[in-house]
Amino acid sequence: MQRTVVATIPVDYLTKKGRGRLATPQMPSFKIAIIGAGPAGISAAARAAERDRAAGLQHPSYVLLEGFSAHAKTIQRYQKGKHVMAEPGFLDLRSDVDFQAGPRERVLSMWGDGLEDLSVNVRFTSEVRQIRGNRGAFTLQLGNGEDVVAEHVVLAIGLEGNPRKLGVAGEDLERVQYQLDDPREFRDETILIVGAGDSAIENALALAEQNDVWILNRGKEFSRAKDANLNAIVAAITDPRSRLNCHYETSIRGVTLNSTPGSPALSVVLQTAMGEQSVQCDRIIARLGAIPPRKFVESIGIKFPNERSDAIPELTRHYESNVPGVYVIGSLAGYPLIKQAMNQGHDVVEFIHGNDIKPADHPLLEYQFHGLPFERSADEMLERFQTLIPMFRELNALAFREIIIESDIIAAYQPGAEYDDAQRKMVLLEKCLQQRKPSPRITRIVREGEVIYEPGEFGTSFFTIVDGEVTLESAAPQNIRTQLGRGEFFGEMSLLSGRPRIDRAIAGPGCILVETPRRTMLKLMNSNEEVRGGIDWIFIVRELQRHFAPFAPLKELRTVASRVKLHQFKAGDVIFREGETGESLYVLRSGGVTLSRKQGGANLVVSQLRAGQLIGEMSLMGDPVRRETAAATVAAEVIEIKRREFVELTRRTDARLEPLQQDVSRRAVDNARMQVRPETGSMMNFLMNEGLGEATNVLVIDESLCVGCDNCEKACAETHGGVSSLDREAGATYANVHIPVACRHCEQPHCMKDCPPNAIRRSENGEVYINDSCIGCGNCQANCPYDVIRMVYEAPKKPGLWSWLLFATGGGPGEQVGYAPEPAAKAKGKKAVKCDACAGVDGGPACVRTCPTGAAIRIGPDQFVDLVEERKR
Amino acid sequence: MEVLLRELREGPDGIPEYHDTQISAAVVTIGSAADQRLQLLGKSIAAHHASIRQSGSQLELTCRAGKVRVNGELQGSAKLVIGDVIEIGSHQLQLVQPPVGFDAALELRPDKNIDASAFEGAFRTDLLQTWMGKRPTAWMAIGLILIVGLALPLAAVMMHRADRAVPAMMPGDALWSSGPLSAAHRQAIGDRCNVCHQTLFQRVTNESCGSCHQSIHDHVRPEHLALTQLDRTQRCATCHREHNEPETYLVNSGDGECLACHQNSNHTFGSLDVAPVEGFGGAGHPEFKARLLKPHAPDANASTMLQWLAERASIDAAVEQSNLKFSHAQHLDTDRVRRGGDGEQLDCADCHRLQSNGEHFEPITMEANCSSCHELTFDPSAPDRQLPHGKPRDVVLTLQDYFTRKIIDPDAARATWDQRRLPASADSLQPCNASAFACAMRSALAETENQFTRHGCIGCHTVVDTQSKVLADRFQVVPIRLARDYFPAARFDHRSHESQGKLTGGAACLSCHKAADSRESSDLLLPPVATCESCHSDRPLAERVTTSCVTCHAFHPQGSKPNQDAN
Amino acid sequence: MIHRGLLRYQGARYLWWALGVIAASVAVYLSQDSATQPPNGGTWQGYVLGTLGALLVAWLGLLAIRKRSYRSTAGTVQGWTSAHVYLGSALLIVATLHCGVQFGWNIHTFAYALMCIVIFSGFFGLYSYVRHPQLIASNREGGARSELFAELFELDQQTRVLAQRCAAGVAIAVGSSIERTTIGGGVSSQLFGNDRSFFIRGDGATSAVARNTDQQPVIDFVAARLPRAEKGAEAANLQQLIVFLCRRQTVLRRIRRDIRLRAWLKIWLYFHIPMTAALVIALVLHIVVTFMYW
Repeated sequence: MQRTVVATIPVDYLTKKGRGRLATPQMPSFKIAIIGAGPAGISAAARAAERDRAAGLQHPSYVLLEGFSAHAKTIQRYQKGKHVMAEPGFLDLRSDVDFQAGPRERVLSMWGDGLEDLSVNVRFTSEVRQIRGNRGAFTLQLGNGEDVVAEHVVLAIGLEGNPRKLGVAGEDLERVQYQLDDPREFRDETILIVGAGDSAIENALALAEQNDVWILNRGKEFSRAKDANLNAIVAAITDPRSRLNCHYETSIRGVTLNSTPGSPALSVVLQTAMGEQSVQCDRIIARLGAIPPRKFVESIGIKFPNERSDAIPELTRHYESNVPGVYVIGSLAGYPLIKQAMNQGHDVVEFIHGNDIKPADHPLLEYQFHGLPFERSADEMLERFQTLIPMFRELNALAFREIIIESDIIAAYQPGAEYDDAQRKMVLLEKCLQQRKPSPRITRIVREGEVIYEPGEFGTSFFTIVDGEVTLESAAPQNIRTQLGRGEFFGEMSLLSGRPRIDRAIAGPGCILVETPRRTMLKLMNSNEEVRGGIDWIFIVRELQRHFAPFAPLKELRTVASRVKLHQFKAGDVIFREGETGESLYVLRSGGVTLSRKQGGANLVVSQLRAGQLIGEMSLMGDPVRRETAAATVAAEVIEIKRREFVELTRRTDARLEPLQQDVSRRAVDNARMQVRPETGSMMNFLMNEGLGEATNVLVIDESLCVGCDNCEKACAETHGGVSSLDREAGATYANVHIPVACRHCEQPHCMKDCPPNAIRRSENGEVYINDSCIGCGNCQANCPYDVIRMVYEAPKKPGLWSWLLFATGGGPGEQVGYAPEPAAKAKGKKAVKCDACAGVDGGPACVRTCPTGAAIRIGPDQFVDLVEERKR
Repeated sequence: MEVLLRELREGPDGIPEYHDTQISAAVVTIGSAADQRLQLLGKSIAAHHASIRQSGSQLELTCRAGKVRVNGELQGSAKLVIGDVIEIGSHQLQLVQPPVGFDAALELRPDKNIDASAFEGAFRTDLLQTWMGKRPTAWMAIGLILIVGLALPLAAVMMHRADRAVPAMMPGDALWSSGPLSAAHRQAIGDRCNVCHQTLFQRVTNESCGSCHQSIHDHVRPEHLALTQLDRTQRCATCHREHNEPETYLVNSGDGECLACHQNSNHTFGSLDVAPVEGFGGAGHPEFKARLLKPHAPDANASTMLQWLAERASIDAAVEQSNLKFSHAQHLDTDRVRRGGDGEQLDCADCHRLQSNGEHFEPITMEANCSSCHELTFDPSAPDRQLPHGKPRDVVLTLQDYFTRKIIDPDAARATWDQRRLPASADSLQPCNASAFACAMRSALAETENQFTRHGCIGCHTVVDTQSKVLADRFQVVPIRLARDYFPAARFDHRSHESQGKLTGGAACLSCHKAADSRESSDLLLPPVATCESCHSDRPLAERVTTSCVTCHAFHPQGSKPNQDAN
Repeated sequence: MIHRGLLRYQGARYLWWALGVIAASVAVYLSQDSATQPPNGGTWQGYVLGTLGALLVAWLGLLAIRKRSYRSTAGTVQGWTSAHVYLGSALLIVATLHCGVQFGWNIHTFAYALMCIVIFSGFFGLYSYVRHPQLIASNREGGARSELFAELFELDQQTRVLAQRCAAGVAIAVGSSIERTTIGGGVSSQLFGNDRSFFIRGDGATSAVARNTDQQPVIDFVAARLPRAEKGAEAANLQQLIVFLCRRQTVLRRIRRDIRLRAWLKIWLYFHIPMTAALVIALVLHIVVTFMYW
């Protein structure tokens, strides 16, 4: 049927458009060929269809080609009922197909209907194998060998690519599958899982609930898995009760259907270390990752800036690649979010039709630039910005655009008339944007001389100076003012080490800043070498400056900085050992390190160091023999400074040696004192084992005061919707100090690591909290090493306090053990719950405020020593 | 019976393993306690939860605590058939076909999520699990209190109202008493609180006091009250505090209540002149106002027909108008007067004899107090003849009789002539050559005029000569009235003042009453308030005796109420 | 020093408040001249003290609410508790001055008595709150109670299995000792740690139920069998058995002690709270009655 359509295309089409060659009749020819029926593709096709309808064409001027048997493959593969988000909230959707956040099924049907209603010309299971030709005449070769001709090609194939098949006979059998929708579908089957990646592990664990699962790992270990999954799978394999088992160094040689009834459906030949072996199973699920689309894209002739796997092809602002006529949109173009992709789909079709419309996010940029002192179009402004910031110059224009959209623009004005005008301007803008929820970002107006952040704030964002000046004042260890100018940046210390700000930033005359949120910045650093390098470098320079040569100009430090080395350590790794001679000192960049000394047989912790402190400086200032063993309590990054650089730095006339020396001698004394008081040392050791090494705010209960009334737990539940994120009785105790199971608000929160909706945030005061956008994926729970995150349903309402006080109705305050959630709550599904240090509750942490005996307190790292001292008595 | 218990456990690599144990007992007890044949742990599982026993051909399950799910529904007891699934807590127990030699076989699928720490559930380890409870105790206590403390007393009140006897055992409204009644009241009232507390939430009214104390009347007499803008004086209970401990405090003798009215000048007493009082001692108290008797002649000619009117006057201005001629100074002057007998100086007590009440004195009379010194003789030659006192007519008649008899008696006349001449006055010297009766009349007349105008009556009395032709009516003596009670509303105890420090007797009296230099009977010898205040004060001070208002002033005025004896 | 007990909250701030209240009440009390009227609730000073006392009681009772109004920012619960303790003690004096030490068989004195019960139970509670947590912590040595029970359970299983391998008498004795081990129980048992454990001692033929207080008897019983063990294997079993039993003994001791200490820690509340409720009612009654029979 498809054929007939194709055969009869060109005539009226050609007459309409006066030009164009006659296509060879058996070859269907279109103006636009859209590859990939993901959000971007669907939206693009819908747009094209709409245009056709408007132009009154009988026959589509476009085709949507999808290799998979249905639209939106990636989302098809989400787990059942998984929530699909519509981020960023303030970005308008510009598409002929509808889309709102909602469960997977709803979103899919939304798009399905969209394709239906517009009767989009889509061809499923027609994978494009190859594209030849150039603008005006591209030939797309499909999987089934047939060709399609198009003037323009829109690549909307996304990043996922196609699943890598087993590559053996029987790989296409119906019981050999490459995805898993709902693990609960299968019961008491014997299932082989092939692969060692996260998806394989997650599937295996899920299936093992009610099936016998064998996971086949080609390698010796699960190296690619993220920690949480790794731990889980290893635990499951070793646990005799679990129904999950593993074969290492094993791969599949062949799969055949079992003819004999009764016996399992498949018989599989395994290639093991011991040789071939045949097994029976009901099902094979292969999660071997996907064939990245890059090869295919490059085969068309599109160039990538570098070899990094997540590199993004160079594109014009019309999404046109270096191959004229080939457009790239969606996640392949670096736009992972559905809404963006759909907007691009719409826009790209308009571009191809020569209609140079502004992209949907254009107004957002305008709002952000609105408060700037000079009148320029958003695009010009973008270019100007990028040229002004050396670090971003190399960046792809679109990527930079993204960064700006996700960032805040801050503009400083002279107090007085100027400032007031600007302020008024923004107020007006704010008024007209009021009804938009969430309201988009607009320029932040500040006075010159206004403080941007204070020391002690838990800043998570990163600042870049576009214009003007910024003054950095660092109070400790001594007052130093540094002037930063155009193109420089600051705030990297908190970004990298997760510590609160140590200096004060003051907006200088006429300064314009870009404040980029942590998440965006980390993404950028991972994808872009230049940026990462630049930030690492400035971090080192600033650390050197801070510790050794506060008055040295940057360029002098540059040489030194380029020579020092950056090391990473996993928790437990030893940086240097007691007794060995050291030739270098270290600056702890992130994480925590404990110094311990051998005393008899035992290792006594004598000191615990946090990011930003020096380690092993004695070896360069006193005797070279290490007096302590330095080991990372949590994953740590250290900057190593060898003697040569150190001498170079300290030789300067303005080097700050005295404070350094004082510091050294003070710590020598402290360490000694700790050593002669073993109990404090072991207490400190205990605290470190409990993860206080990376904690910023931890609940500590004094067992000698605690009467076990559990009022803290009740308070927690009552202030957090009837669910407690604190378990008083659980948790370790040492010498009356009890560390209950409650969030430590780590410097580098493990839970933040992979939160799909970015629902876990850190507030300015340092509380790590989960906002409403949690989708209940459970990653944070798996990632938290202290088991302080729970996945729970919303708790039902309880009768009031009085009715309990008088008649004991409703079980009283606090979380009801094993409460039965209401249907509504069940429908919402389980959500992650953790301590937010009562960020929303005025008066501070309820657990502490409601402790009748003063047993419960919350302390930060600087009070640990006090705590130890207290125990001493 | 013989029971095969087959426990299903997950062996390593997930292969289920069976663990068989043989139970030979009449009853298979199931629970979390250690002595159970089948020990299952879990929060919801009691120490002795259920038991399975043979009943006839079937097995019967009975729960001792709570219920269990048999094939899905909750049941307290059930007959079991092969294939039944019993859910105890989160564990599953299935009755399966017993192999030969067994009466029954149970297949147990334990919940592997429950670990040994649930063992605590087998014991009662918290007070919450005992009979003790806070709420029940509290409610019981509250109930008890409301019944005993409120309900029963209220019932008692009702019964009292209805004049029904209250059972002895029943806690009556005596429970509400805030302290013991004063003896008298206790005797009179007993436990019938409603006698005084007539309506709840209303203070005890004066009426209820008056129902017994009928003779006592208000502080202000009704007739006086009429003259003022005041309303009736406040509640009895303001001063009479019952249920006080100790009961000696039945009367609140503090000055506060008195001063509350009498202190503030803006308190209008209408036409009653009531000087404001600040207190006692230190010029707080106005000068005493004595109640004096004032002679009043209704019409000029009947000058001797006097009425006596009472008038109040501040004692520093007031004068006595008793019509008596008397000088205290003279009588206390030893050069002039000495006591008959021992010849000592006169003592106050010689004339002024304290009455038994210790406040007032016996009335002063000619007969009792004067006549011992002042005899009413008139003829030196007849010292035993005296004139009658208090009756002027009789005086005239007595003299006429005396002289008539003297003259017409011949031997008496002869014998007495010379002697009679010696002291005779000039005109009696003139020879009497008239008839004897005429001579006698002339002598009587002379002597009468002599007594009433020169010496005799005139010494103490005021005499009016009415120039009447009838000699008996010619001289009128103005009557005398000595005030007996200068302060009828006040109390004063002379006896307690009989000794003033070292002074005793007369000296003590004179220390307050300035009699020693009082020459006129018009002098008012009452001490001024300053005299009292020299020793007394309303607040405890050094060398001062504390007195309150009611020490001197009776709150309840006496007299003028029916069936009341005036003193 | 980071942790502060409730008595030393804010440098015992509320101790000074309490002393202030006491001083003020004493002053008021002395201001009535007993010459004309006896000091008691009837005088205006009496009314003032009474009102003060009533307000104090009301406020002290409010702790129950404040403790559970978790969003409240009115001070900290520790502060309230500290004040509760000190002002509660002060109430004793205020009330005594109010009644002018006049007592009788009436509702008023009853209220006073209740108040005394509440306050003194409070004193006891304070003592146990200060003393017991320390003891409990040291007794459990950092482990939770559930851990102790878990260990006990495992021990029971192991001991049983091992006992089965020994002579009948031993098996019965040990088995019964496990089955008839009592922990906790009623109020008195929890408070005084009564141990009503038994075990069946016998040499296979004759057997009698014997007390097994603190598990010592059964240990001795097994130990006594040791020298008369026939085979070496049995001796080894018996020795191992004794080890288990001794461990059981220590675990049981710890559990019982924990239960006992916790019971003592909480028992006072079972008087303090209900009596407070009663006191409030009695107090209301006291006030109502005072004006009912005015």
